[in-house]
Amino acid sequence: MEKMELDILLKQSLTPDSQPEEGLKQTILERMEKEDVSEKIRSLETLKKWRKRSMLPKVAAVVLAILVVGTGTVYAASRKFNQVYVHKYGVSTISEDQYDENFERDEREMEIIEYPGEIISEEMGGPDDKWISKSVSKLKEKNSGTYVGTLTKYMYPDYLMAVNNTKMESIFHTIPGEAYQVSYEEEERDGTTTCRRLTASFYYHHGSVMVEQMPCEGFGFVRIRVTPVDEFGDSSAQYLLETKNERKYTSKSGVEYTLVDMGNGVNERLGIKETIVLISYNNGNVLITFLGISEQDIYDVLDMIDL
Amino acid sequence: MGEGDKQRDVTKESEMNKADAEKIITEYGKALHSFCLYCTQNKESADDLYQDTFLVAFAKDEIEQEANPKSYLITIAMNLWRNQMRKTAWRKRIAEVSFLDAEKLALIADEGRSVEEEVQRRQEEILVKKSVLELPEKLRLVVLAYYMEDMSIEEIASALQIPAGTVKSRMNKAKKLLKEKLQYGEDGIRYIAETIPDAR
Repeated sequence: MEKMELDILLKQSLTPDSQPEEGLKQTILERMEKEDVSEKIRSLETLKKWRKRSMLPKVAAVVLAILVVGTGTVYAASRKFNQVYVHKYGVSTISEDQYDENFERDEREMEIIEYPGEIISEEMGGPDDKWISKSVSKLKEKNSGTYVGTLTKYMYPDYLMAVNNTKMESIFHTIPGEAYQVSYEEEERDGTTTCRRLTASFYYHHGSVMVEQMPCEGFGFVRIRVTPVDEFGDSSAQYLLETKNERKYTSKSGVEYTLVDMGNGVNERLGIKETIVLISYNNGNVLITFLGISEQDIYDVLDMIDL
Repeated sequence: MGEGDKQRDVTKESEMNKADAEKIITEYGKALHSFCLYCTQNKESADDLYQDTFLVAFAKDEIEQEANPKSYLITIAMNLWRNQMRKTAWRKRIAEVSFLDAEKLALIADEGRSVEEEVQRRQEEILVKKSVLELPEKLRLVVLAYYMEDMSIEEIASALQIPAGTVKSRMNKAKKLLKEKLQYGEDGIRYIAETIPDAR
């Protein structure tokens, strides 16, 4: 098929000839007198900002894998922080002598859940709901192809609203900035909620801070797999990011955090620093990913944490 | 006063009058509705997007100063739609929602037109529409904006806030996919590639 022919064909076929129902005009005229659409206008402004700020991280789809093992709930009066260890491909609360490096690389040892899974149902939040949308999808084990449960995901417009509505806790005494992509997920297997996770990203200066909270007792394990994608969403094979530049920071409240940069990924090649901090304590695990944020700004955000 | 409050006040003050609004809906309604329909692939969603686009445009009250009001409306529609997709975490479309297929879209689009006169053309159009609807969202948006709404590459780039080069590469990718999809069979009739009858 010649180029011109396709052009003509597209032009002829995509003629704008869908006449809207006459009633719609009247509805719009009535609504414009009654409705305040400033939220919609603001959302377009937010989209502009979001696009501008997410230009660089967008070139790579980052897959975060957090494995938390352990059951039961610990009700502690005070926080007990677990030691965090840095390994070649990730961080965990498992010390080097107990740690099998092959475990990190060998996915057969891990249960890999297909994400996003097949969606069973979706709905938009009503006027009384705090959430924007809710979707339920199947949890499918990638290697075996078996369904192991369901994942219910809610999208929220705001971090604190999500925290309050899901009986989670805010990890901050001061919110770092405007939140975007706030979601709460509940994993259910055999009728039991097996995991809860709250994820929120915040704009911070010229970068972003992503927070993932999992209120489960057990050990924390983080590694970052990256799937490079091109402009059209095509992807090639995944690979693991390597850790580098391990360092410590003691916050103003006296908590010592382990910081580590993630190397050999697209972000590094683009000159964007990607730093992760795993916080593991007796009531759960928190992973914070800093993208394109200076060292001092990272410290400032860590000083905003109140656990 | 917060930024949102300021925005609200400005919005209230700047709403355009009903007569002007009606005129704009009459003039650009068809173009916008077609775009919304192909964008959302769902008549109810299209109607919602169509209404919201006009409401936002009227509240902003900039449309009358725009050199190309149609492009301005399509830009708002595009971004409202993308924003909605973003809010729902780029949710995967599901079969349960009654999306319109290309044939239904063609029927809606051609309401009031003599079907007999266009049977031949319709067959081909359906194939093209079906193929366009199957394009990935990013590619579909630029194809619709360019071919359906006559927006220039620069206008699309400005609407989507991406470089013109990116719009061009998306267009090329879309055309490549469409070319692969739309092929002639040995009988000289155009088919979707995988449905070409075996010539043997």
